[in-house]
Amino acid sequence: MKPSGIFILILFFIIITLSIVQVVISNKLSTTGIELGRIDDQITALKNENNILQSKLLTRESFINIASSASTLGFVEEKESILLSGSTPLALK
Amino acid sequence: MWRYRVVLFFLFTCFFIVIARLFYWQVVKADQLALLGKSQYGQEVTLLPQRGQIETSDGFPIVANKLSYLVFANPKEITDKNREKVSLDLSSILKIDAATISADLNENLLWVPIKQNVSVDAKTEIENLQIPGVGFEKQYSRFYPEASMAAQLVGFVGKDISGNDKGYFGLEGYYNRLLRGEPGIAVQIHDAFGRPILAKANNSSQINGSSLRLSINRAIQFIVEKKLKDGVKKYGAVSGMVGIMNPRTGAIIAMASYPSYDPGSYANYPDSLYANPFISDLYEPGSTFKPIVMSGAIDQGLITPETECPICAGPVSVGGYKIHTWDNKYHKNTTMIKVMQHSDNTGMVFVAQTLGVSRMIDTLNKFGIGETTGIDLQGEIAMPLKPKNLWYPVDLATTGFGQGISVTPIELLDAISAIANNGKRMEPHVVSEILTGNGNTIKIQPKVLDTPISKETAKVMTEILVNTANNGESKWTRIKGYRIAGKTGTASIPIDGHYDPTKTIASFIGYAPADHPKFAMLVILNKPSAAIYGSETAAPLFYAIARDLFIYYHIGPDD
Repeated sequence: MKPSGIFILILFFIIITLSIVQVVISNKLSTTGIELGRIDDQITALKNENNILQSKLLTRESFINIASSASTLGFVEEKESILLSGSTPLALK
Repeated sequence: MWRYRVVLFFLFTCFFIVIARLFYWQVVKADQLALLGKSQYGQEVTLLPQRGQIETSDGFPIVANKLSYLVFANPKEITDKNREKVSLDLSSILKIDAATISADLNENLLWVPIKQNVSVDAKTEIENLQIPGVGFEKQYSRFYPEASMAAQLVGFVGKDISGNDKGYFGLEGYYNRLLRGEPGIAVQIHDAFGRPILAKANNSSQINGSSLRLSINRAIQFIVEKKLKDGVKKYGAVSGMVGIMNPRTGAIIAMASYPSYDPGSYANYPDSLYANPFISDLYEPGSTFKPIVMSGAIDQGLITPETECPICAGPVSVGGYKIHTWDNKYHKNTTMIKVMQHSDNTGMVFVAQTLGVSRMIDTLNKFGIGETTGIDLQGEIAMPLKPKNLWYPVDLATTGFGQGISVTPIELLDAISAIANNGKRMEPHVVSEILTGNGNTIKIQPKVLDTPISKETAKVMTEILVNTANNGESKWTRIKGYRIAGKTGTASIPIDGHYDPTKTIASFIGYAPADHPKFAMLVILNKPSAAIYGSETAAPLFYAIARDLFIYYHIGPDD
């Protein structure tokens, strides 16, 4: 067989092989949508849960909540600060 | 031969018919076919961006987004037999009148909204009832973990004419375009059964909104709001406001007004509360304006602190009006230091007349009086100064002691902060950083607006104000051991061409520590009834807040 003929034959087999591979892979991928949908739903559910938890956390961390809880626990608001001043006792001799 | 030509003609005709038909479907009907194809294999979904958060300086979001739901119903799926029960069930969970829900369900429509911003718990409760024809659409609604903290500073999110979210007032209004982000479009490809196929979704440029990091200190804001509320009640005032600024950078540390409102349910409050009075309300500042006028005169070499007032022995007549001191006490040949200490109106008339109209206008312009400060909040206003040819002698005189001229509180605070900052006036700003939706951080740099007075004049004026705070009318309430520069104000309120004799706007403005100021603060009480003077109402409130600020900033006493 002439070299050009062998070349054409090789090309032909490559084309056929690649076509078969594409068909096989496309076939596999075509049913992964169900899995994709499930993963998407999971991601959405986790994001929603994150958001709910963050909202609860922020409410707990807020000063309004802390002040209210402190008041319930019996903490008293400081009315005034006392300034300690005066000369430091120091033995000069 | 003729048979050959007939066949050829026939083939050419068929060929042209095919070409023409292809042209028709691929060119004339191209759009329609593309749409049909898209609807068969893919579904276009609009990706709504999340609105940016607003955080205080410690990174805590005082405005965030929380998951909520729009509850809708398909009236055609709800039978007449079930309608009443469905209305009652939804009414008890959603807290809406059952008759309203029933009326919505009577509509001859496929989709009616029942309620927006429904909580996750309420949605779960409705889901458990398994009501046919009722569905949910996910939404994000604004959430305020600190409730109404800085409500008038922040603003609120309402709807625009198209039903889209839009910020109004304050930061939500000013930064609406940055906060809202950009929606995107995704195409989800599915098979003949409607199941999604693993394929790349075209996510066209969905960008979440930028978040704002403020210079507002959450702890100080909390303290200020509480103290302000207590102060307004204690002194029987109609309303009150406090603004605290870092004079070195113009960063707003706290800004509070009382009464306020809940931005999460703004519709339940009168709309007169929406605007931030610290930037939107004009008032005659009274004696708190005197440092501005006096520092202008000192800076231009027209007076010194020891200059004696030649007209202060009694009331001063100007343009047919008699100008008195607040306490009807007069000090002959008093110095400028004592003029400020005694808050002597006649002394300030002398200073104003020494300045003259041109130099007065020039001084006020440099201090930013009569123009907006450029603070990054929606709703700022300013009252422009009268043109020079419209100033009468009495206008010049009264401007000297802060009457007959209108300013917003932020204008005054920014002007006095220039004295605290070695003569440099800074642009006030609330936002210190913008955190963009694609992860970048943009820092807002401090900006010098003007230099109305020299560093030396600022130091002299500071000493005069420290003496005023230590020896003036509010000395009884000052914090011992600290050098605080401050001035009281008791301004009359103009009503129908005259001044109300019984009601005042009481204020105190100051900065501390005087030599290296950490903060400048303005306290205003509107129509206090317990006492009308600033020295008895606004000054004690100022010092009560300042005491907490000294502790918070670990600032020890000076001696």
